[in-house]
Amino acid sequence: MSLARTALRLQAIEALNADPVVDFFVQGRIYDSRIADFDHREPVPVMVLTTEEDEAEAWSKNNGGAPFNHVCDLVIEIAMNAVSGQGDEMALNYVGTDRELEAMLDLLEERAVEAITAGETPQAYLLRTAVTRRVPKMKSSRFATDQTGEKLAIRLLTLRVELKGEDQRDVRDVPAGPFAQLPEPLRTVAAGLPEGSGRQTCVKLNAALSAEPRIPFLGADITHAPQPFDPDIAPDRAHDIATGATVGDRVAIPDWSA
Amino acid sequence: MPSLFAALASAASATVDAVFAEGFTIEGRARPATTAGRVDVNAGTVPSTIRVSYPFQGVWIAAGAVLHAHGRAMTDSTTRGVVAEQPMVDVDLHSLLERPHLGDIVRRDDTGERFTVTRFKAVDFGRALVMLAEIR
Repeated sequence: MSLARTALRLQAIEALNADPVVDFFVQGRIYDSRIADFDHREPVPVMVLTTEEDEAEAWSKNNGGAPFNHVCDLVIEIAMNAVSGQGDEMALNYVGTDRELEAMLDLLEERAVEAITAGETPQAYLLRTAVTRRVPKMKSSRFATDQTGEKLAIRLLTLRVELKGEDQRDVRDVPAGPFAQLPEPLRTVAAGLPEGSGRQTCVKLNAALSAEPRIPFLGADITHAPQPFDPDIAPDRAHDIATGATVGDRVAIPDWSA
Repeated sequence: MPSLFAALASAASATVDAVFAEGFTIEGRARPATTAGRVDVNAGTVPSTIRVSYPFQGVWIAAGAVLHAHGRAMTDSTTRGVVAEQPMVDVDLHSLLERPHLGDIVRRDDTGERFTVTRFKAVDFGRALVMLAEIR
């Protein structure tokens, strides 16, 4: 369930990096849940992507969950500062004035929302088909400061994302492949990730989960003994076994995948 | 032309180091590249192939001041420390080959302790502070 959040972050970063406009300006500086403080000399613009409020209401009011309608806030912090030097903005793709700064943040936000909700790249398509169901709400707030002597503006973009539920474990579903232990949708996302830290994280998760072997449910053995139809005679298990009155049956689950 | 005081401070810097400084080693760290040719900002650091490891001299500063969060009439021993001053190295800019980057590793040669660089602050008169965080 919560690994759907991991899948969301990993694939959302892939989708954002795949967007040509975002890639041109941000140049891969999209951080997954960065904790460390930013040095003000670090290159900007940057995006920090986190999954915050996460709630799930059971689909069945009667039985409760799982499965749940899993809704998670995907928060993207887009930060950028202005450079003052003449010509610097051309060399570095940065901006020189407050007006351009705000416009550039608007541009990056526009592309980020587009990449996650309606992007046409294969990465965005995988995000929409495997991880997210829809984005029912978005919110964007602004923060700006020049306290460190540099003009910095931040857009805090919050996308409420309805996630596709992890598949309930089907007895006939025997996953295969290098990420077989991961639940969906992380398994699909992991398989599509390029070589790098995202994939390495999935390898570690997969290894951590392989301690619990997943044995396919192929059938059940049932042993029963016919009893006389008389309420006065109580069943006697030891007697049935001793007299050989028991019958062994095997119920096999048909393999529908074949 | 620098002021007389700046010139004197600069000259004194070497003397300060001769009296107080000890040996450190800095190791440049970098993040690997992605398949798309960008820096993989979410990966762990690996030894940099460009910025080499080199020894330098600096003055070790660890004030050890700890601020405890507590109300009135409570002793420090009953509360946790919440803020402590970072350890840092006061260096002459000439002893560094380049500006240390966030995430570089500094080893204190005398004790073998290892730290990561969290901040680099140029202070006046040709000296700078390399602020560190202990690697446990």
